[in-house]
Amino acid sequence: MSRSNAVFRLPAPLLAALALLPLWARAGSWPEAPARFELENGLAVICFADGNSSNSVVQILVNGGQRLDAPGQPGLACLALNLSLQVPEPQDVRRLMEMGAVHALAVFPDYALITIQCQSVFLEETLKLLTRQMAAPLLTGLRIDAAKARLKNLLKQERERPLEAMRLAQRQAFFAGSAAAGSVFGNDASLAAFGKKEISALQRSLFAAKNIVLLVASDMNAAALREMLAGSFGRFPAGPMQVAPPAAPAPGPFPTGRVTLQTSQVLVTAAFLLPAASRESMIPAALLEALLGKGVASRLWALRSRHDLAYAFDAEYTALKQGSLLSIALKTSPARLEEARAFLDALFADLRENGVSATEFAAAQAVAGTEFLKNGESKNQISIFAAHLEGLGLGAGFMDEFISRLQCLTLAEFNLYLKRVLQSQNRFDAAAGPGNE
Amino acid sequence: MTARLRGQGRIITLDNGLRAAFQEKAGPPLAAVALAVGIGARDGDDAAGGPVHLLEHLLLFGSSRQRPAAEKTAAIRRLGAQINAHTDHDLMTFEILLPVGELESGLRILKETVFESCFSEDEMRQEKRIIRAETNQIHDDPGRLGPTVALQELFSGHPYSRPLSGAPDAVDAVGPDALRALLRGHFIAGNCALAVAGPVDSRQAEAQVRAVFADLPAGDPPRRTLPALPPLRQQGELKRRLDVQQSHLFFAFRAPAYNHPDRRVLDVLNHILGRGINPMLAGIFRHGQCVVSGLESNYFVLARGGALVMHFTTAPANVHFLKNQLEKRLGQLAAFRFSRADFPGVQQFAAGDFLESARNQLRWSGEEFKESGLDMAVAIARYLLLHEEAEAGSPAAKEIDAISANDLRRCAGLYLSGEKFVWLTISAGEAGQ
Repeated sequence: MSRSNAVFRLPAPLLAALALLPLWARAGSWPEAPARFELENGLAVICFADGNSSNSVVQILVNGGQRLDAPGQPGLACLALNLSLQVPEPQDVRRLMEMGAVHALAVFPDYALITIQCQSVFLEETLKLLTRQMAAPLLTGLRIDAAKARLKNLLKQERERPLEAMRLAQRQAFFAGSAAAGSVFGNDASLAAFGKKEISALQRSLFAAKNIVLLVASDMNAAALREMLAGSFGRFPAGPMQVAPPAAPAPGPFPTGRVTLQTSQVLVTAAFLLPAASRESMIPAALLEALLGKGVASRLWALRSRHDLAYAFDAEYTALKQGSLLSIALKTSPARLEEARAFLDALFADLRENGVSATEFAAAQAVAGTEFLKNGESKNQISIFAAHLEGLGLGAGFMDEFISRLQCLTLAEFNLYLKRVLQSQNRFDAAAGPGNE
Repeated sequence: MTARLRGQGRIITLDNGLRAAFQEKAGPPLAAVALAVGIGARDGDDAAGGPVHLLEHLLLFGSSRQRPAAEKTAAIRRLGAQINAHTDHDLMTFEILLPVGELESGLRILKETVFESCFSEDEMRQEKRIIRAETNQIHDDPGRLGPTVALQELFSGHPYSRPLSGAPDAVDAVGPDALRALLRGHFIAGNCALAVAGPVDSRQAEAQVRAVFADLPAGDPPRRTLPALPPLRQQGELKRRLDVQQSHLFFAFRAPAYNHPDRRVLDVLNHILGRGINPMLAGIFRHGQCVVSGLESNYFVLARGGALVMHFTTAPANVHFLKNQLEKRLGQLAAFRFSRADFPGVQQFAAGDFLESARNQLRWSGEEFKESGLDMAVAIARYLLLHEEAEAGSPAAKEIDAISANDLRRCAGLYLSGEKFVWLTISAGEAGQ
C-alpha cells in the first residue's frame, strides 16, 4: 500500500494526529529490499546488504522448534539442535576459536535460530566448519551425555531467574497440554530417556533444505555470498519442511501462579493471550506493547512517576503461531504486591472501557515506529527480526509493510482491539518472590 | 576548530568550550545523540556515593525550568524518542535515540534535561525511593551484585570504591544544596562532550548543535583530582547469600586505566581468559575438569584505574577447588605460550593460538560497534572526555595488531599473579546473610 493511500484512508479527525507523527513516517523507505534466491537443493536465502562493518551474520532458521517435541518427549528438539553445533574435531574447534567466530542457538516454540557471526573474511571457512556437523552429525554416548548436562544446567538457571520462571509459568497456563507448555530444555526425566536413535532421526529431518531459511546480513555482494553459501549449505539433503501439529491454546480463566524465591523484591507479571501471529494481528499488538511499556510516559510509566510502585517495568509482545502473548512485568517491594496488582487491574479496565485518546494513540505509534526501526540498527538485529517473521510464516517482506500498516491502523480499530483482547478470561497473573501465597 | 574522527566523523569545539562530534553512518532513519558530563560517582563529598546518581535521576525525570516533568516526558514520547542516562565512576552520560528528522527537537530536549533542570523536593523524595528499589534489584541478581561488591573491595579506601547507585541511606541523606553544588561545579560547557551518529547530514547537524547549545555558559572544567590507589587490602573470602541454586565465584584484579599503555594488552588478556566461544578458562574448567557451568570475564576501564572481574558459576562443593586451581593457573600465565609462534617446530601444528583468537574477537567487536548509532555516539562522547592526548591515538585495531605474546606474559605477571585479587562467593541462603 502506498503512503499516499495511507493518508487518504485516514478519517478527518486523525489527520491532526498524523501531523504529529515523527519524521520517520515521512522518510524514504527502509530497509532496502533484500536479495532473495534459492540454492540448488531448494534452500531459501534472504540477504541484507550492509556496508557499515566488515562483519557478516548468518541466521539459520530451522522450522519446527519446541512444538516438534512429541508428547512425553520435551527437550528433544533442543537436544538434537544443541548436538548439531558441537564440532567434534579439536583442530576445527581451534580454528573457529582463532577466527573469533561465534555461534549461538535459541529454540522457540515455532522454530529455532542458529546465529553465526564473524568477520566477513572468515565467513566461508566458518560456515564450512559449522555446517559439516549439521549435515552429518557425529553422535556418541559421551557427546550426548555432555549435551544433556548442558541442558540440565540451563534448566537450573531458568528456575532461579524470576523472569524466565514467569515466562515458563505463562506458557504452561496458556498452552497447557501442548509441546509449547514446558521448558524448551525438557526435564531431567525426559532428557535421561533420549538415545542416539531418536536424536539422529530428528536431526535428519530438521537439517533438510526445505526446512531451513538463511537470513544473511553482510557487506559482501549477493553473488559472492550465493557461491559461498552453496559451498556449505548445498550439502543439505532436499527434505521437506517440518510442520508442527496444530494446537489450540487452553481456554481461560487461568489461576494465579506463584514462584517462591528469597529475593528482596517481588516480580509481578500479568500476561494476556493475544491472537495468533499474522500480518494483521502484529500491528495492534506492537502498538499495545508500546502504549503500555515502551519509552517514557507510557501507561506503566505511572508506576514510577505517580505511584512509586516500581523502578523497573516492561511490556513484551511475543508473536507465536499458536496464540501470541503480551506480558507485563514489574518489580516492587513484597509489601506492595497487592497494590501493584490493583494498579494493573485498574489500568486494564480503563483501557477496555475508555480506550485511548488520539494524542496518546499518535504517541504510541511514534514509539512503536522507533522500536521497529531499532530492529534494523545492527546486522544481527535485522537478520534476527527477519528470521522471526519467516519463522512465524509471515515472511521477511513484512518489514516493508510494517510502518505503512502502523500508520493505517485507526484509533477506532485500536480501541476496539483493546476492548477485545484485554478481557480477564485471557489474563494470567503470576508473581515470583518471597512469601507463601 | 575542527578535527577529524576516524572514518567519516568530525569534531568541533564551540566558543563556550563544548566539544561535539558528528559521525555519519547508513541505516534506519534514527539519530543517536549522547552527551557526556565530567562527573561520576568519584565526585562529591559523600564516601557512600549518594548524590551523583540521585542527580542523574532528577535531571532525567524531574521538572525543568520550562515545564513540569510530566509535560517534558510527554513531549519526548510524542517525538517517538527513547531517552536514558547512566552514571559510572567517572562520567554521567545521557543518550537519546529518535527519528532522524526530529534531531533538532531532540537536542533541545536534551539541553532542557541536562542544563535547565528545576526539580522539586517531592521529586527528590520520589527518586530516592526509586533508587532504593534499583539498589534492591542489584542485590537480587548475582551477576550485578558480584561486580559491585568486588569493585568496592578492590578500590577500598578510594573514591572509586563508591557504589555507582549510591548506598540507600546515603542517598536518603542528600539535600538539595549538595545537588546544586554539583550542578554549579560540573554542568558547564567545557566539562561536557556531545556526539551525534546516524544517517544524518553532519553539516546540518553541526548547525543544529550550534543553534541549540551555543548559549550554554562557558567555563573551565573543574579540577578533578583523585588520590593514588592505596595498597590492596589483604583479605580472605568475601561471602554473600542469595536464593540461587548454584554458587557464583568472583575473582577481581586491579587493571590498567583508560589512558594506560597496557590497556589494550589487558583487553586481549580478558578475551583470552573468558570471552568468545572457547576461552582458555572454559577449556580448563568447563570442558576439562567440568567444574564450571558458566564463565564470564569483564574489564572495567576507568579514567584512573581499572578492574578485571571474572565470574564463575559452579556447584557449591567446587568453590574452594576452583579458587585454588584458578590461583595456580593464573600464576602460570607469566610463562604461558599464548601464540602458536611460541611453540617449536612441529608442535605448532597442534597448538592453539590464543593471541590470534583474541585479536579476531576484538576486530569483530570493533566492526560490530560501527553498526549501532547509539553505541558509537556514547563511545565518542566518552572518548572526548576521557582521552588525554591532544591528538587521537593510533586506531585500536592497529594497537591490537601490535600486541605480542611477550606483552601478554608481562602483563599477566604484573596484574594477575600473586595475592592481588579480591575473592567473593555468592551462594545459596537467605539474602543479606
